[in-house]
Amino acid sequence: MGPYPHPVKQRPRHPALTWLLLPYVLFLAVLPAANRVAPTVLGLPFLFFWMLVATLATPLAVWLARRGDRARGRGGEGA
Amino acid sequence: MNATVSTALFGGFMVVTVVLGLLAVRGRGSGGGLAEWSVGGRSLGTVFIWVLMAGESYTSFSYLGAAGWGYNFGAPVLYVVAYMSCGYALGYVVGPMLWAYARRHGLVGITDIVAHRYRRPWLGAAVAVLATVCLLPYIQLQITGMGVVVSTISYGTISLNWAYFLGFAVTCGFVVVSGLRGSAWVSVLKDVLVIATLGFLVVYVPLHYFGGYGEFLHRVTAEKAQWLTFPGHGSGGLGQVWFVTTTVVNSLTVVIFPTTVAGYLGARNAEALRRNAMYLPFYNVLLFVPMLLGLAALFVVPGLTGADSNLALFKLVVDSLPAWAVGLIGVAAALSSIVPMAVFMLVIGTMWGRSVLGAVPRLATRQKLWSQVVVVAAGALALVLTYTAPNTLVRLSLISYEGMAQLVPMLLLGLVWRRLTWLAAVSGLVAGFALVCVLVFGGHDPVWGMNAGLVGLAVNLAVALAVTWLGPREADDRPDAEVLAVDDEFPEGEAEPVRASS
Repeated sequence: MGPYPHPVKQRPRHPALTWLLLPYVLFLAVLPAANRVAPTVLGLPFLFFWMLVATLATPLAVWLARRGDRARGRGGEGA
Repeated sequence: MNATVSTALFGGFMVVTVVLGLLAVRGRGSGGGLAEWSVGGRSLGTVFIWVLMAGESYTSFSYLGAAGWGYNFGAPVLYVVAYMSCGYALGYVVGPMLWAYARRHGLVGITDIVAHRYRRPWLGAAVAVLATVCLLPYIQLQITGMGVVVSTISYGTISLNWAYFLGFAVTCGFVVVSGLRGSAWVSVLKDVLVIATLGFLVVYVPLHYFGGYGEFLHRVTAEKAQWLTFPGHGSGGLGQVWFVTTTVVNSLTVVIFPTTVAGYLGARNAEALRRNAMYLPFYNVLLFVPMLLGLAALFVVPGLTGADSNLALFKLVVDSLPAWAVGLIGVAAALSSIVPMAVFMLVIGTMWGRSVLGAVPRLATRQKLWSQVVVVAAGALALVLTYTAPNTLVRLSLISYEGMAQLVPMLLLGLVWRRLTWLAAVSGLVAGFALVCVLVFGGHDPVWGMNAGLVGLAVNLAVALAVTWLGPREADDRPDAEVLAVDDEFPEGEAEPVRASS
């Protein structure tokens, strides 16, 4: 076996991966607007509500990135 | 009576923990080599990877520190959720990349990766020493965290000193033999207990003390508004800028943190890691529980100061629940010390067994044995320092995360950018690390409102780029595919390269 038997695929970064920046936007970029107590949502002070939204949106962002990834034939079992 | 019930329950579960950890390697014989022990033979599927990575990131800090920060400061504690979420998303790219690189070249940890990338074994050894200095304080944090939990939930029956020792003994009891796989198995028990007990507490505490959620949140909003936005209550400069910079630098650091990487490398394939990156962030929802309970404790047990505020959550538990429930919650919290401690000790052992002692030709054939010896030695060192000079490691812990952050360019940039020379990576690391030390120990963290680790990282990167462009070029005739992490897949059915180890 040679030092590296497989041809190297230089793959361009897919735009779907920009979904991974969504948590940074939600947690950080939006913070100045979310840093407030009122209005309360479901009783939660707004900042804490917003952080919960961002936390739950994170897996969604990864799912979207993965969906884009799979759309160009990467990932899946046995990949 | 109370003490007997909760202590017996606790003791029983500690025995179960060791047995479970040892069962993990039953039928696998004592062979298998370093990769079998350090990274579970690269065989863990999505479920085990999830359980393990959740298990190692949700430490005793989550029970003690998160509640304590919530109690003392309020909003700034949210940084934990923010950086873990962002880091897990980043892990979607970094995890498979490191996994494939390590698999292709038969590597077992970050020091090994560095040694291979720059083709300099001594650099791997130096990184191992640096990382150990950063990690030892975490072992102590787990030991002391376990100590206060155990002595609290046993109603004082088990002394602090015995509880420290117990933490060390139980952890060594399985990790020396069963390595990462054992840690993953114990994580199953831990995660079940953590999810169940926190799920219960988040409902029970507001009902018991406030008559319901609405009433609890209403009182917090009305009376403790200062805790609910940045910069929080009396946090001494932990404002929005601090939150943003800390989240950025910590999310970059968590993906190369040696314990995280151990989890990555344990995966069966890249797909398990991608799927895990999707499911793992859900675990962060649980972090809101100790934060909220820390706020609740403001009303129930006001006036806690200093280290006592870390017990905010447990004061509520002991005050409001029967002994068996106290014992069970104590077991969950103790396992939250034990699992991360096991993985911390494991990666220190692996780094030394492979990159420090393993780099000495005479010792290179017994890498697994040396790793196991170092596991016990590192744990024992942390334990002894906890007894004799606790402040040494507490001081060191201040630079742990921000110091570890300085490895990001050497590792991540190095794996995607061929031109980065070893001299540049080392110069950046030294400059960044030195700056972090100066800022932190000089009492300047945050500096201008920013996390000192990010300031260090910026200088680190600038120096690394400058030295790459201005310094000597490197003569390395290996092809890019051998040096860089160019592809995050690994061809099916190909054997792992065999390296000297037993």
